[in-house]
Amino acid sequence: MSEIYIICVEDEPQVLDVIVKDLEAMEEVFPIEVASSVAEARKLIKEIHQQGGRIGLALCDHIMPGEYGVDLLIEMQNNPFTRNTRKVLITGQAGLEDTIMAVNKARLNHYIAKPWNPEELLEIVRLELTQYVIATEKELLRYMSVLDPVRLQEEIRSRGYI
Amino acid sequence: MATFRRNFVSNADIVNTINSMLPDSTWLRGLLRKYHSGEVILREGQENDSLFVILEGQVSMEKEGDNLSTRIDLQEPGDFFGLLSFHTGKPVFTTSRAHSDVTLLAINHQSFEEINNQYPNISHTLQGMVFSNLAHRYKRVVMLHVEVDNLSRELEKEKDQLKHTIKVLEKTRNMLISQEKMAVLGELTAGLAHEMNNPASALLRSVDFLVKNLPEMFDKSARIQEKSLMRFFFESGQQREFVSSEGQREKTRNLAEKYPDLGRPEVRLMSEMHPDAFDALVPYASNSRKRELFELYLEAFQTGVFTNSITLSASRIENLVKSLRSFSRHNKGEREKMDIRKGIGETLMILGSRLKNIEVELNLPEIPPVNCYPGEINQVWTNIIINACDAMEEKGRLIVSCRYDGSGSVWVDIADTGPGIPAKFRKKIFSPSFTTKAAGGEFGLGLGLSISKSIVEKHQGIITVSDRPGGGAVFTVRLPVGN
Amino acid sequence: MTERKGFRIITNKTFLGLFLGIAGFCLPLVVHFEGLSLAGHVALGIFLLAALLWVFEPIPIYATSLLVILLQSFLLSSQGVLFGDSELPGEIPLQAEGNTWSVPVTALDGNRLYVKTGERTYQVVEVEVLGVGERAIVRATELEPGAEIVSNARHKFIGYAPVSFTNFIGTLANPIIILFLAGFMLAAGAVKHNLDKNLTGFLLKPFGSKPAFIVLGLMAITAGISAFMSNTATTAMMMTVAMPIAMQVSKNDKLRIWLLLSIPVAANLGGLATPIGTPPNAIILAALSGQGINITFGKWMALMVPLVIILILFAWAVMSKFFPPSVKSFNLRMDSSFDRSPRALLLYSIFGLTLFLWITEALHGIPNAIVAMLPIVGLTMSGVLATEDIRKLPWEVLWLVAGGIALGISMDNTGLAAWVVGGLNWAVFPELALILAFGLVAYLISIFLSNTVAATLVIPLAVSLAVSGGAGEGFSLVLSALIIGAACSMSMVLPISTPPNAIAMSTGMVKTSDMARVGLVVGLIGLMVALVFALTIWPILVY
Repeated sequence: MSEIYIICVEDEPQVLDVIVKDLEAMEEVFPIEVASSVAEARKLIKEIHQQGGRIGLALCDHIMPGEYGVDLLIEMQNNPFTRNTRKVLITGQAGLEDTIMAVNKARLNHYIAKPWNPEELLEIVRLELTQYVIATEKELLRYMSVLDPVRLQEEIRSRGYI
Repeated sequence: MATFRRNFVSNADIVNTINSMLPDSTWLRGLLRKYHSGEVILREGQENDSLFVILEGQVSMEKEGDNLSTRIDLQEPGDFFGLLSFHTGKPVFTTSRAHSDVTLLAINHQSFEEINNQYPNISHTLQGMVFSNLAHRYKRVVMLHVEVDNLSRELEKEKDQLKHTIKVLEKTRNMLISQEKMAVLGELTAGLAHEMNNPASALLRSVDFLVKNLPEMFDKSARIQEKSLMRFFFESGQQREFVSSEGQREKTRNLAEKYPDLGRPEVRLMSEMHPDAFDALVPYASNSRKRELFELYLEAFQTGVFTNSITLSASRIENLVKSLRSFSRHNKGEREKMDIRKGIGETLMILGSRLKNIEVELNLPEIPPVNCYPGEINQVWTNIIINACDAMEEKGRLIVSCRYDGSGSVWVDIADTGPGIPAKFRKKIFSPSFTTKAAGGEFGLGLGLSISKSIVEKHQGIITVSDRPGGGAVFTVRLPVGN
Repeated sequence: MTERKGFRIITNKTFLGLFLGIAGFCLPLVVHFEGLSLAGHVALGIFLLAALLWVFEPIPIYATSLLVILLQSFLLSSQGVLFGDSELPGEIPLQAEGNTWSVPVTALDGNRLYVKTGERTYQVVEVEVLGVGERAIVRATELEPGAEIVSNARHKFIGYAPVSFTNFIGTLANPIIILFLAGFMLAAGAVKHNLDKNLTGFLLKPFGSKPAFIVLGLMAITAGISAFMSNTATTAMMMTVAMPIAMQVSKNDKLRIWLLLSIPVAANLGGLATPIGTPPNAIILAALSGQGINITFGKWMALMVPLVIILILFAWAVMSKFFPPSVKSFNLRMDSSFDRSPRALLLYSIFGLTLFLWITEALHGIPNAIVAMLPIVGLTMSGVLATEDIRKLPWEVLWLVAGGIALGISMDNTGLAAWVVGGLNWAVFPELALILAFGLVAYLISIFLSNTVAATLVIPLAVSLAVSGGAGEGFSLVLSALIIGAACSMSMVLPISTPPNAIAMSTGMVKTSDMARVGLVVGLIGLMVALVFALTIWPILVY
């Protein structure tokens, strides 16, 4: 089974450090990779694709030097490799228009405003990855202890097999 | 000899009398003069020796002023003019200009004698004419005096009104400046709050981490004997430079393969270390007995990283707060001498996030301090720079330069590489409610630039906009240094 | 390592499994087992192949089942390559010589001749051999002129009457399979309309707020629902109820473990309560019906329900000792608003009617499988189950069982099973010990393999033993089949033993040692209790 990655795109190193630390508990099952700009993120996505991995969740800032996060998310939505990726915007500076675009064109799954509560962040990541895993994985048991177990059990119930 | 008779001679009488005599007297007819409308008959200041009687048409009496001539009177048929210069020999006092086509009787001294001798009844008539004319003129003078008095009084009243209105306008202007400042502050505060988000999050979380980890580290450290490198790893962490790139990921991957027992977070930390710290850690990485010590050193490193994060974030917040404070300075009528470059710097700092994708070029040599209201002047910079950013859609170059012209004024140019301002808007751009932003936009009260102009003019300065050679607009502000 | 779509990843285990499976299949080709007919050798090869493929799972277990059917049709059927009509043995008419017969030497197998009695059947006739020369001279009273004997006593057709391949592929639509299909469809309808969840919420209410009773309630309801729904789906559904509780309770409270373990235990045990509760039951029923014994729905329940109840209570008591809870009480609130849409109501009626008809078979006499057509038709006709619901049914479980049934057929009619059990003199052992032994073997195998596979491998042996009479009169086919089936379902020691166990383990809140402790105690004692039933109550009900 190919690995499912979490990618974090954020230009400020201090904030990136914190995000990665907050999500450390997920790394047992979902390795985390980071990028500090949209251009870097593109390279990262390509690398993961070439290595046969998949991207389960993208956590993106909006205002970054070069291109903006929402534009990256829209690109990801249009790319078949990352269409299923859960997309989360984590920012303090996206105006209403940009957010609307993210929802409509990028199918944004969640919006987190900075500053964020670490427990909430982890919970949101777990929920989103649970959705991803249900949509794309055959075997759900290995995620039971790290994702949302009740949702996973519910899915097993409706599938009828493990 | 004609007896003195009290009589009122009407203009019509004079004209009729003279007209009746004209057919019989060739000599009289020789005294006739005709002028076209607009012709000057007698010019002020010239020599004159004739008395003119109007038989047909109108003559306007004008006095030359600075730029215009003032019409004193309009003389009708039967009136005469040129009397003063005729009688006193002094230069003409008021210019006489034909108001329409006129027929005049021009009587010079000789002719006057003749008339006196030959036509004594005309002489009488003429005398009567002169007196009634003079009386008429006198009456006019008195009337004019009275009028002038009235007008003066009215003028005083209006002057007072005007003073009052000016006061009100001043107040309104200040209020608008205040309001605009509030709006700007509002927008800036929002931007500031965003700006602060990142360092605040990083700060809080780093502190969280330290609060949680330090006690554990102390415990662990108390248990382990050999821990001489703790400080070394801590300081190495403080100097960590963050890199996100393919090369970095390759490095992490190689390390992960080399140390399959280590988890991803540990491998990541190792790959971020400087070579000297990395080399110092390697012996512990593969030694399973020294596992606790290895983890302790890694934690020391990460503690260093987060401590550094705290330092950086805190100083960013400090700078932002400082800038905000300078902006919220209330002007209670306090002018002060300020180096306006400071204000420009603070403005740029506060607008930090808006300028993320914009190349800012500063060309700010020494200039003398300007006597001004600093808060308001900053408002002007804020306004112009925000407009520039919006015009460039947050991507491009912003060039700020200043200079002292050597004769009491400081000049500031703020140029952008946006689409520029079309010529037809250049005048209108400073008028209130001019905005090209749809329905107000984020902050488009449309008052921004007009308030800026107001502020600049309040400081006796001038603000203009022109095209930047190479594309874009340049806003130029000239401020007198003041006393 | 990239995954290529459409091809399974080659791992060492896969390769090993395939290699061993093929090796097992080829073994009887190179080794001759005395006393086993050719067909038996082929059947043995298929058996070894299936067993090894089921153990190592290089291919899905249902694929192995289908492979079994394929090989059987290809090799063992009367249309297959080995036993096709073209392969029929040559027969020769008897030649008489006085009151003796002269037969080719090859026609003689020791003192036996094979007389053709039907299209493909041959009867053994024992003769007295008088002399063997170029030909053999025999005397027998049963032989009649005109009879045909087989010229080659060692012909493969001797001892094996090939059946049409339709028997093998027909297992896919065996009445028991149809019964199970009905069960699956009823369960699918129940899940779709949340009948299982609502029943749980409704039935939990009277159990109060003391942890011990709430767990008992959960176990009872789990068992009840898993009697009709798949154990796996029941476990997953109950987990959605139990996990929120477990997560609220502190990490050190043993209630967590009790809660999470009680569900797979109850689900596994509950599957025994009705014929459709779990696939191993199908293997039992098929094996029995293959010998002419039909157990009705109602009778099965009468046999098993008391056992299940006792086992549930026992397991509950055992776990309450192993994992005493620390918390004194908690509130469990579950919504239970039953779906009242027309389709749901239709589902309830069809479900109820079907159950009623199944249980009362003794009264009306309509076989289970025909009644089973009622929900199958009713649910599809009414649209309670739409096409995508039909597609999502666990067809592979049906195929797994079908393959098991088919394998049983071959093990029986090729004489393989008889040969396997024929080695020992079973009669020296008391029947009880034999039944216990079979139960234990099934239990042990089922710890590591799927319950259905374990049943498939063991039951034919028991059938054969019972049929051959080699174990004595007291060795009841029914009792031993039931015990074996019960043992398979009671085997829940490791996470790999059953899917419900795997689900509980995946939560990360249960240790393998906890599961093993409970599994061994409940399983082994449970087996004893079932034996007691087999000796006391069951014989009364069965005979």
